[in-house]
Amino acid sequence: MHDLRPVGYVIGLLCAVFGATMAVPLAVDFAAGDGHWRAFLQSAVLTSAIGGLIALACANGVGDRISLQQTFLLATGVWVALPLFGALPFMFGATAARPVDAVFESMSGLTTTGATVFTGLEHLPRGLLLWRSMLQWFGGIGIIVVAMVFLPELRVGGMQIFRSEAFDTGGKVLPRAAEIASRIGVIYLALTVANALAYAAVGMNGFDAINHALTTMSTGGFATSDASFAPYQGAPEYLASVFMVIASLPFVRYVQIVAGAARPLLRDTQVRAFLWTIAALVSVITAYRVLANGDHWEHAFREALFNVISVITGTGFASVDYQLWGTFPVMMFFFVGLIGGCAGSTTCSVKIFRYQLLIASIKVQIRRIHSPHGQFAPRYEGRVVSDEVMSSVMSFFGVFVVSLGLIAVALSMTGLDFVTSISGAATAIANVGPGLGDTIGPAGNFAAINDTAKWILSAAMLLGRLELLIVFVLFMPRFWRA
Amino acid sequence: MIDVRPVGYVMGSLTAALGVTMVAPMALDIATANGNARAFGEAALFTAFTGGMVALACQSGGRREWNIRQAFLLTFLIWAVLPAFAALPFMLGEPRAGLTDAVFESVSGMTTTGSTVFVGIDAFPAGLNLWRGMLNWFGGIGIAYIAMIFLPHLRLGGMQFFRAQGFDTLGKTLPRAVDIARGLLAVYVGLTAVCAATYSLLGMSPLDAVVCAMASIATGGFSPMDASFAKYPGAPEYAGAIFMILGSMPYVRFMQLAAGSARPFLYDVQVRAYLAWIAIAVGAVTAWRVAHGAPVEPAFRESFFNLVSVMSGTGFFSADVGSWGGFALGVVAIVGIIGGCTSSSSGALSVFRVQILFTAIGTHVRRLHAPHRVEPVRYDGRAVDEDVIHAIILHLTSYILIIGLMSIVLTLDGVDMESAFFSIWTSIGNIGFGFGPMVAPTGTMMAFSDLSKWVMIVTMILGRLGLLAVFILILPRFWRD
Repeated sequence: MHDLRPVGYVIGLLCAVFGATMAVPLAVDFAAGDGHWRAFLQSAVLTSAIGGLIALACANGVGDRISLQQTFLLATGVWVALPLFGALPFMFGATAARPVDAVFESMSGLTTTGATVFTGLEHLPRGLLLWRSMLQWFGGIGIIVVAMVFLPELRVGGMQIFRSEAFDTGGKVLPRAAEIASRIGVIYLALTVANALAYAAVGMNGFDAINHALTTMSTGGFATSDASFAPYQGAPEYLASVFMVIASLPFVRYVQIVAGAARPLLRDTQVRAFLWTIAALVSVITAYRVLANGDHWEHAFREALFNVISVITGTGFASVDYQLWGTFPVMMFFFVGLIGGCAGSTTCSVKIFRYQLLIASIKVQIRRIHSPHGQFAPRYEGRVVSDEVMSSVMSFFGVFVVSLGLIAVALSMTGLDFVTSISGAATAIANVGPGLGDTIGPAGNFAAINDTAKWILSAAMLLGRLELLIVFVLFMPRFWRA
Repeated sequence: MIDVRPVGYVMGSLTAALGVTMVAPMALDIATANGNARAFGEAALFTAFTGGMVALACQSGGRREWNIRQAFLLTFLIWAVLPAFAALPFMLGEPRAGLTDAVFESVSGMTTTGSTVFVGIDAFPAGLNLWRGMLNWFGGIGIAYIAMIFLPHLRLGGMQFFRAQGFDTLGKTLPRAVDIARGLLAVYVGLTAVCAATYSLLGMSPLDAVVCAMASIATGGFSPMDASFAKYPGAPEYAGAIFMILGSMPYVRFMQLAAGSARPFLYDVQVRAYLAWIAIAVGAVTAWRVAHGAPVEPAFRESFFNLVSVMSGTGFFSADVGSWGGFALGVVAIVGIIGGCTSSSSGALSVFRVQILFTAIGTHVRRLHAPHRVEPVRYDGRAVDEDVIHAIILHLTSYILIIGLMSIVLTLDGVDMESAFFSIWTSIGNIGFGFGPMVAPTGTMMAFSDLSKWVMIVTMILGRLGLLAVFILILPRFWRD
């Protein structure tokens, strides 16, 4: 059995801080004077007290280093504990949600998925809306830290390829994580502020601008109304597209820019591939709409741009019901959601660099067939990719596909139809947000599906957010021995 | 530039042989005097003549050492050229099909897919139905042979794992390609004969029995009945399921069995997993249907028959599987992607690859936990090369990607999502089932446009030959020295 105290200490501390942040929506509701602030007070006290007690109880076991096993536990533990506490305001507050709905919403927030079970968002107290956006914002910064520090250290899904780059932990995960979090945090905050100001400049009211900025930079996708981004046609769509792209580039590049080196960002092959992918997808869908549906080109382009970026980055804003564009774009959107953004950003899903490595590997295989005795190695950014990294990436693909299939079947067992099951599984595991079909499509939400399916989807969001393997390790009996 | 003469010689000979086999349906049509014999006569003459000419022209290069590129080219050409000739009888005689439909039907036959674009099959001339069965049958033995001889040497899709195994265990009894072909043919003919005899004992008409037997052992799925196996409910379904399972097991094991050693068959990990997975899938779907009020025996029988038909990639159906609900459809989709065993006539990913995938994932997860422990992936007690594992996962990923891309292409042609997905799923896995609004009314692919049918034709060939094998041919690098 491992020493759980360092893990408990960190999780306890995070919970205590998390509870303290509930003071912000509390203040907003208090100012509105509608008495809803009590829900946040209860939640904040409960969360901080429990978190503080856990941290105190575990405080005597904390050292500088934590073991590999503890790191695995910590990552999963954080994404299990925080959503549970984050769900409290939904249960105590105006939505008076049952645990299943509250946890779904909170998990969807902290994993930056953006799927919602609530309708009539515009009638909810402002504090609660702000809390939803804050959940995503925390989830966004959290995942950047996980992607930069934890995943390379844990060698999950080929992320060790980014190990040597800028952030070698030298075995000291926690101090490194804290340091990176503070450096990234400043950039993240600055970008969010810039985003909010930009939104306000193109005509959003202050509250909407702040909320949408919080959920844009985290590629989360919670909005303040049922209509999502539809009330903000035109310039806000372009603006949101730009910021969603910014949020899905590797944050380590921004750190380098702040340090004065813009070159790494400009020469990053992952970034280039990402932008090219977006350009290709947007052109194809725009062309289809103009040629097949006869839509106006500017509308077609703007809506294609916004919605493609929203899906590929896993944000999940919808400005129109793109299911009305025809079957072809719908099918495209399904697969676009499985691409994802760049590693080390707030985006989710498979991510561009894994596809790049996959293609590199295919090339090598083809060369080997052509000349069976030659020695070839896959390359990424000019460097040879080790077998170990390649195996990790391959395993990730395998795990991703298998999990997707199993979750889809599990969902269909609860009685959902085929399209809802498969797109629900995909949207949850890739943390995108909207699915396809009448129920969970971009125009609908997850309120109508059954409770079992909601639990399955909540678990799938967690799995997808932590790159699957981190969670699967915990299910290995061997993990708990020794 | 590669020397194409040896390839041309073999292709020509095979084409000529295909033409000669058209005599069988011609004879049947003459015997039943339905006036369709002429179509087969013309097709036979044209095919045999063209094939013979090509073979003669390339004869000078006939007996040479083969290199790997020629093997690639031949494998591809067999499934690209032979169906074109095999399509002739559909155009020259009944049902006077257009080019697209005729090629679709013959590609579907020779890739052992089993999707059809025709209705009113019961009323087809006997010879034509026999021809459809024969197409399945040729396609089945063809791919089993290729899987044993060629694929292990092409280092594709992880088949190189079998390069050392399989034939070594036979000792020196089957050292060469010709001997393997002979052994395979004996097993294949034997199984088909037993199957046909069983079917006719259980009450099928002679033609139905023979065609269904050919299609069962080849895991093809063409039947001379519009209703497929729903025409013969009960005992024939059980028999059919058993023969489909046999048809989707590694033939090398049957050859060993015939040579007197049952042990490799009984202890084959792939066969065991295959049977276990069938049991799980059938059990789950039966339980689901019984829980939703279906009577036990028909629920079990129909689940057994239809799931085996999907998993083995056959494509016979005996019930409206689409109406069983979301869960059954999910299970069907997954077993269809898994498929039967390697080096049989069944398609899709194959049990072997899925097993390696799971083992590799398990090993990887353990390695995450203890990065410094060296622990190879093992299959059947042997360590598996990283090479093989990467090849398999690439195969899996490209399989999923092709399903995605091709479905998108179909939706571009106006097909709805469910029909598009399942049409590609059935084509690439060489399965033969179809679901969705475009397929449901007739149970056939006839409602699709010509463009969609050609997309499916390409996908069937892609699925049959392994995806990379086809991609390699379009690389300029392949043709350079």
